[in-house]
Amino acid sequence: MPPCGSPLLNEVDDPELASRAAQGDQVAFARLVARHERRLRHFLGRLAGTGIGDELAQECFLRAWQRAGDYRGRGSYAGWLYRIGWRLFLDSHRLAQRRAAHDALEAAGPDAEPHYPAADAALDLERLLARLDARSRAALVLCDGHGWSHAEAAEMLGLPLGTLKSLVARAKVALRAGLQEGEP
Amino acid sequence: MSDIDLDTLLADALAPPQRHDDHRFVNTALLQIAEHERFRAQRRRVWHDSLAQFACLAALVAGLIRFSQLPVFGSIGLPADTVLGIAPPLVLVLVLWLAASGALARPGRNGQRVSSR
Repeated sequence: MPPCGSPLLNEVDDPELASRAAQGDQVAFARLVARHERRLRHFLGRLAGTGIGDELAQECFLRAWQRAGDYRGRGSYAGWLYRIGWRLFLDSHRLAQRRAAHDALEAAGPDAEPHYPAADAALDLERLLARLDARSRAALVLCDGHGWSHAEAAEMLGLPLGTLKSLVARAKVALRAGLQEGEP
Repeated sequence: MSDIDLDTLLADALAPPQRHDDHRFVNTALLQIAEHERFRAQRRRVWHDSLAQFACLAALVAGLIRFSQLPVFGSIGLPADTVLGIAPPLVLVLVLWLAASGALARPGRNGQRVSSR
């Protein structure tokens, strides 16, 4: 088993590590996983919940290993990983929606909106974020949380730049309105 | 609430956590990759073995057909058509016998060949 994050590779940049991984170097790939897992898991956890987000992140790294040769060094490696992760999330989300629709037919009940007990701004924000659709949430996490540009985020999510900008703007309007409603 | 306030709130809420590498997560990912690689190697070996066995059987059948056309079979009273007719069942019996005796072993967990007995 290669060491998780070999210090010898700390100075090696992502394209070089990716190139070594494409040739079957698991130590180089371990360094890539160690370097990117924190942000990728946070992104996917924000979309799917922490547990499923971690599973998706594992799946994402496995796909990245299988398709290591597809990364040609154009754009950032992190962006390439986020794209794989986003597509995996969409697949799992569609599957979950189909299951939920099936379950709803089986036993019709009240909508299962998550319950947030307290009411300070951060918790209000969490509740409002949970109400946003997945694309808007992903766009906000990428642009406002992880610091990607609109163009980079649009490429990761496979959206036109204009669509992404409008998603972000509309999401912020909805969040602001929701937070102001909650204010005394 | 101003734009700046909202942006600050969002940046705080949506920023990735500051922490060290999660070694357990990295190791799990690497274990999955090792498992995937082992499975891929086994699958490749099975394909390779299947192709080799198919080639052997094809050669055997071709040989039997060739032998059935030799004049010597005419002298022992077996017409070529009869030999050709009994060749496939004979090959099948041979394959079953080889399988039962463990000659067609399957690959083991770590890649080494394991007898079916």
